[in-house]
Amino acid sequence: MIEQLDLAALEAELKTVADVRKPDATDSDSWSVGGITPSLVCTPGDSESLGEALAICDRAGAAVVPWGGGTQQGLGSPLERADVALVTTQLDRLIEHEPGDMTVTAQAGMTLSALQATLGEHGQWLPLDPPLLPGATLGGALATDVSGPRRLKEGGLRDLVIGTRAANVDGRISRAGGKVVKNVTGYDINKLHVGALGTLGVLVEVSFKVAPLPPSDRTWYCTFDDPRNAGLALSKLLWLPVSFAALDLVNASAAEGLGLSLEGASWALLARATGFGPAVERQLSEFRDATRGRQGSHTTAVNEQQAKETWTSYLEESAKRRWSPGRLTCRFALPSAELGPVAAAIAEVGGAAGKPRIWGHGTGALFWSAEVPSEGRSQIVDRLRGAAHGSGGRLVVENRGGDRGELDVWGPGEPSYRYMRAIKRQYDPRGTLNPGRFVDGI
Amino acid sequence: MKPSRFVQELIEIVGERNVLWDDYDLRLYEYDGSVDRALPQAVVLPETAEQVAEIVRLCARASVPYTARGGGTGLSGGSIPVAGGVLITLVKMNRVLEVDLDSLRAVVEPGLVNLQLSEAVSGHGLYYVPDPSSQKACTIGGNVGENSGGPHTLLYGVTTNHVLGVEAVMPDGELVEFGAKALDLPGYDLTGAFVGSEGTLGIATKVTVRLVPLPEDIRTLLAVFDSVEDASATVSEVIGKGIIPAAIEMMDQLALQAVEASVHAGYPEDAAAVLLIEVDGLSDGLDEQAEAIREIADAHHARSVRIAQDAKERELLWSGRKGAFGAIGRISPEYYVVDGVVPRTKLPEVLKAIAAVGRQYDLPIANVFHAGDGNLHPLVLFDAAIPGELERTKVAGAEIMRICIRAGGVLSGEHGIGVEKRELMGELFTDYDMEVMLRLKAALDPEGLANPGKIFPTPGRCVEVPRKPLAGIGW
Ligand SMILES: Cc1cc2nc3c(=O)[nH]c(=O)nc-3n(C[C@H](O)[C@H](O)[C@H](O)COP(=O)(O)OP(=O)(O)OC[C@H]3O[C@@H](n4cnc5c(N)ncnc54)[C@H](O)[C@@H]3O)c2cc1C
Repeated sequence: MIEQLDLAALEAELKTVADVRKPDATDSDSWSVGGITPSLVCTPGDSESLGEALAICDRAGAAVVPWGGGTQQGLGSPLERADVALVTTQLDRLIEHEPGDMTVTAQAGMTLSALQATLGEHGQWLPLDPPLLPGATLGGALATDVSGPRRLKEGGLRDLVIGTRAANVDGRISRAGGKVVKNVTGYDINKLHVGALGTLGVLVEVSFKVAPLPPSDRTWYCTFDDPRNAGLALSKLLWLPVSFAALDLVNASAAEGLGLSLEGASWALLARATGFGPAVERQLSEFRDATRGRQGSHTTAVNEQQAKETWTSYLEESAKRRWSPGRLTCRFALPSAELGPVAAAIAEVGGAAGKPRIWGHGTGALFWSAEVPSEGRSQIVDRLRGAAHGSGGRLVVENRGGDRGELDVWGPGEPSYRYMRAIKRQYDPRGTLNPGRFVDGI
Repeated sequence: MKPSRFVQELIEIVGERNVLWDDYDLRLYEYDGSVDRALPQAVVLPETAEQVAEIVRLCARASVPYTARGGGTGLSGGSIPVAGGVLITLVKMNRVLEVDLDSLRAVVEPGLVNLQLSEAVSGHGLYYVPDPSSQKACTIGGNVGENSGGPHTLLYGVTTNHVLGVEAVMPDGELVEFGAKALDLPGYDLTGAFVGSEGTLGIATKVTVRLVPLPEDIRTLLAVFDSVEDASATVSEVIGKGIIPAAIEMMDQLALQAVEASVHAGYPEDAAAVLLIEVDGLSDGLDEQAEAIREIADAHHARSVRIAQDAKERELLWSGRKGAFGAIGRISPEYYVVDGVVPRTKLPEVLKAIAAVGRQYDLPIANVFHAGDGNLHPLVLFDAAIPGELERTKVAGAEIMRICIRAGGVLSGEHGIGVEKRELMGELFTDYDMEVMLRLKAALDPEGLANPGKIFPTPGRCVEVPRKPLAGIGW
């Protein structure tokens, strides 16, 4: 039996360290996590009080939902309990940016867009272009391991993060990694937090490697009738000593709204090249050759202004599709050579009515998103997951579209999960942080 | 002498030819590339992952510690069995199991020598990026253990960026896979946590790595400077201009003199420092990049900038760098390789402070290092035959580490903490930081038998991990 939580006492105690309130009628929807709304919203003013608030909740047996911008709270299995949303948005300071070191340290509640604006003033950026809604924070980005098309060349968050400070359930703040780009000093606890959905601790500070903004940036796309051919062209391009910034496969529905005309074709391969001018030009000719040799019909160069808009709306659209209510959105993790075949296999899943949007990155991340009635969802997820597993990949349901728990978000168990449970028991023995949300009931 | 019962059980698992247990044989496994040493009580050379699992289960039943060892080239004592027990040497598990040309992945056994992986795939126009200078002798398993780097990791990343999956025998004796060819599987990134854990969380039996297309073309420059400051400023400005070379290596005067005495790479012996800079990629625009670097070096008073004209000249320039440690070995009876990292912009002041340490302890210090990442390798020259000199060297090394910490850096960029620096961890991290790291250890190796005595300070300074009395475990 779990003891009944004394909310009034909890609220009073939390008030000694942070701003606390109850979600009210006007905004309770925006605090909903897959249909459950935390009873309290706690917004500490600094890292130390955030740690204290976390410890108070842990002692009281209250379930905590770490909360950045709240833009991706749909991820994961339905929570078992949600008592307190622990909000990081007051921790929004830039701590250190030394352009010459190409590293940056900021508090975890700083928004990604604010960080990019600051870095941009120095001709740099955090090389990450995830499909995130405005307001998304650095801590949230890290906890959800989001990435976008440009991960292909720049690496993902696991590659970019060099240091973290996290509040643990005992209320204390621990540090791992550092502020330098190369480091083997103790366990790489940073990596444990990447993609952990805040189930091990609450990030309060993060350090990243940053990159120079490239001098030139060009985009082309080629249309295909069969995504398998596009996939072959993609594999060929990855094998050449041509490091594309992005190579993305999109179907016609996904291309809609990007301002790209596919002229009746059902798929397109988008290529983006960044770097120094001459190399970028050369990439275009490689792209032409590789697509032409794989039955690509038509290569179009997108002018620079439009390219900017295309990629921006691509990410915005993806972000919306990921989260719009009533939609089912799944993410495949695939070996890159399986992008084309899997895209072909899932193009018709869900029936014509759903018109799935399918988009994928050269890194092997592939997304399927459609509006489907709730009855059919489980079968659809099963079929999609079958395709993923058949190709040496995995599938995660990102947007359950309002489903309350019938869908298998993470998929079947894996032998490695017992070690993950052991880790969870060490870091959060009482299951305070996002209980039930992660793989294997963690 | 007859093998003990425990050794007989090891023999049952791997066969007689794969177990070493007499004193003479064990002596060969007493040390790695570092200055520490300790004797194992048995050495086993398993040939399969199942055998590794059986060995670990046997050790677990008997509460005997075990230590994984690859090529034994580690520089922080990672594979030194400080608590005794079984040394599990993986060199016989050295096959390339799979090369996936479509998804650019290879699956290899841990005992595979680093360079052999690149050689195995070069015919397909591919290579494995992390290239420790020891790449002819070190293994992929050891690279995973230490999260190794190398000269060419500035642009392309170190081991952790290139290892996507690991099959490991965990301390509970189970064989389990983390990660895969695909990125971002559901669950915690145990692959990421495993890389760099120095064999303390389990033993890798299979490693899935990223393969990368060989660059189409390469430009290698040698820039010669009369001051270390000018060389350092050049490093910062090159990167600040948005050019990220594949490698930027620095060598100071003592290193240059040593290299010239043995390798004859054509380095000027009277210069204060040289930079070896390499840009690679598509041939288009590469000359312009090399030219841009030359201009930056010139603007910082480079005495000369030489661009290698062909592969042969490039090899020559690199031979000096790659052979630098060996060359130092020829001018000094022994040398101690220190590994530290500082923010790149701090290089000039840190190098000055290191030179002062050399003067204070009366020990010559040469610098050969990965300047682009701020990853220092001061080589402290000493002679262990002179009483007290090894001790003095270690103290100087610790002093250098403190300089790195004060400059906002860390204790290791690529060689790990091992035994060498475990007592310094407390100067960088709080006890609580380390306690939180050790929760990971407690989760995966609650009995603490996997490579004990590494990374973290031993309770009570300078107390060795107690070695089990031999009789108790039936040796
Ligand atoms: C001349 C010289 C130059 C060097 N240059 C570089 C350099 O440029 N960059 C660099 O990073 N390093 C360098 N090193 C250091 C060293 O070569 C690396 O640390 C290397 O990765 C060690 O590999 P190894 O196979 O020799 O491992 P070992 O020394 O045998 O072991 C290293 C660690 O890994 C663990 N380990 C080994 N196998 C496994 C396994 N299968 N599973 C889990 N853990 C395992 C061991 O327990 C130990 O903790 C150099 C060393 C020398 C001697």
